Amino acid sequence: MIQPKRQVAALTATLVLALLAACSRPAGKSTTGAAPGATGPSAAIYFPGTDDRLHAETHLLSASLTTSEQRLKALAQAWIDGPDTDGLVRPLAGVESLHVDLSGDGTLYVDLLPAADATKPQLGSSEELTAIYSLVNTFALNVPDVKTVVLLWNGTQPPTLAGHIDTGVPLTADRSLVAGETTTP
Amino acid sequence: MPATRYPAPHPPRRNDPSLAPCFSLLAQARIPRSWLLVPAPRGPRPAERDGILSRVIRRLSVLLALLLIALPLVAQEEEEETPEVPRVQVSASATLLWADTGSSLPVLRAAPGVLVGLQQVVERLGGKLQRVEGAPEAFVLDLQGTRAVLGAGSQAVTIGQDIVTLSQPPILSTAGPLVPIDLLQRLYGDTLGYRFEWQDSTSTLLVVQGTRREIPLTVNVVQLEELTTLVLRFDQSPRYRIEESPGLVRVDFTGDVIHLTQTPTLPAGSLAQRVRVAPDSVVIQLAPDVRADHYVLNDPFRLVFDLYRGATPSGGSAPALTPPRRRPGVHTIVIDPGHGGDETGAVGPAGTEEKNVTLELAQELRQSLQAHLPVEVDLTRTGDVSMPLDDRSAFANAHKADLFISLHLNSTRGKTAHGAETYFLSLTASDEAAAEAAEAENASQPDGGDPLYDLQLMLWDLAQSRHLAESQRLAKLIQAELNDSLDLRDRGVKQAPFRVLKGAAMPAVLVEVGFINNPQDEQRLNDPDYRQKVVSALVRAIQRFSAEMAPASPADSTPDSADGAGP
Repeated sequence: MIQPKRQVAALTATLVLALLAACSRPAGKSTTGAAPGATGPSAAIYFPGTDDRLHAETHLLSASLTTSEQRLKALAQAWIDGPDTDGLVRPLAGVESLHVDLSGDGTLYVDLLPAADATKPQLGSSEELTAIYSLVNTFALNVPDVKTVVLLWNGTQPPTLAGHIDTGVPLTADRSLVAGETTTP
Repeated sequence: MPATRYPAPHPPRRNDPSLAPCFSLLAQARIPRSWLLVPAPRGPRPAERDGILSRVIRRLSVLLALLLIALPLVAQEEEEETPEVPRVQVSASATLLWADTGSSLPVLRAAPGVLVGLQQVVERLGGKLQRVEGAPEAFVLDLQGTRAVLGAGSQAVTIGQDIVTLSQPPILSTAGPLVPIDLLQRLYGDTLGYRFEWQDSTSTLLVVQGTRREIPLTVNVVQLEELTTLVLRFDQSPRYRIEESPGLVRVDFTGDVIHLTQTPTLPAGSLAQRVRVAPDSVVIQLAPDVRADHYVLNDPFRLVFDLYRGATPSGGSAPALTPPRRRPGVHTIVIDPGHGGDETGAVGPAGTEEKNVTLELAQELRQSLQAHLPVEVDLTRTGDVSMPLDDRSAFANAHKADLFISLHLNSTRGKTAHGAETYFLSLTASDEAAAEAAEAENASQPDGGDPLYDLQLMLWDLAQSRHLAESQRLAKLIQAELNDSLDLRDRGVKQAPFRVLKGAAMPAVLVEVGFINNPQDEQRLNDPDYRQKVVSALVRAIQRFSAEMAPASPADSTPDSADGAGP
């Protein structure tokens, strides 16, 4: 028979262990290029949810990623890999990879490279809007050197990705699309 | 005689009761009123001289006595014609400190602030202050071509063409008009760049010569049919004054220096013959019979001049003219069925394609609009063809549309969203960045730029921005009607950078009629009865908007009566 004092001690030890385990769990996953045990700052990858808002999924960046270019490539890979969180979706399923190129004036060119047999996405305006700003916010809000983002589709800047939202101009981050932010026309 | 010749603003009125005591006194002295006029010398004989002299002396002494009585009375009459305004006694004095030299300045502390002597400021800083004839409480201050009119007791003053509300009204004092310091700031600050700082602890009004800002200016001129639009774009809001005279528009910059970043190029057919830019002014020389309207756009600050040619009257004075591009009311509507051809748009779970529903809706809407409104309705596409977005707004511009309505069906990643949303354009910072990049690129061209490129830039920068308020109003009316008719949860009016709306030079909205990815909405949108409800709601909204835009006259429809006439 277990004594009451031992019961209290066992319960306390269990709680402490549970607390320690919870504290030591990583807040996100490491992105491409992460060295084991050497994580750097976190980054928010923005994915659309079923509520038509953007949600930030936190990823840990490798400490070895020291330049903006390296971090941009890691962010691009994390975006291509898609979300881990239930309820969030990969916004442009037909895109296989992203090529990113940061110019000296702070313009980031993001080339969306689709699969060979992929056609341009057929989306509603809400889907298109969140898809575009999923990319723009992910790069512009994580890398201070990025001032504007120009989206390319297979090497060419299209007027729109899916017939609605203007991609013919350099785009800046839009926090109003992020869940929890409010916007009033 | 002096007694009858003293200066007076008006001839003495004998029936005036205020002069009754004077004439009464004359009667009591038994002196004929004709004595008040000097008789011509009749050459008296020597024997009569002594008697005449004594009589003249007696008359003069009587007249002198009368003068002593009458003068104050007549003076009183003068004052009654220009009533005296109560004046506040000012005992306190502050220091007006300017250019390291102090001078005395009457001051009155009157909640909520401090009033200081305007006359004393004018004497130090310049200008000409005058009382307004017949209105002793009103003053006019002329300062470097700017005229300000202010009145004691009135918080509203006019400065040039502007009406400015002061923090507190000026008052009249024994030391002249006392005014709040914000009036000085507005007058001397805007005109001469002075800055006023009241130091209460030392009762000092410090005047500092503000630094003259050097503000870069870009001038863009675009010719669109018979309208020349000239845009002065500034990096900061300048202090300016606009003077218009026949054939000339002059913008004077007061207290700032303008730096022209590139020489403006006038396009062929421009109604501006010449644009001269100096550090302190821009002068636009107009072609004959050309008039100019101007308005202001902000972020960045722009002065926009629309130049247009008015009809020369057959005789008499020129009639009031308006720019030719907009007629009051709604006469032509362009409806844009979204997508088409290879661009199917969103696809519903049952396979319904957005492009087909939008085309059906557009055709039904055209039919209903033509049945209920005296308007011409054009569709950007009437078949299953693809059409670039820029061509769609260009189509509306070419047809001189008064409204542009783009019809779409939405789709989301969730399956439960349903109902309608109405959008109008949001001009984001990226549009400004694009405009700047385009301008820089254009400026780098050796020939000063491609006119077509200029036109595109202007359309992007200005076309929809000047109609945003009307677009928002139309969007609200449409959203309200759709909510009411279809019994929908209000998803609200929204803004987004829709490419198809950007180049539209008229009120323009994009309506997402339903969510095609929602099976229920998809089924409804395939139902002609449901689509008719949508069409009726759109027609009512357009009727209301049309009534609001129509010129006001008793014969015109009101929004309420338009409601009643709805389908």
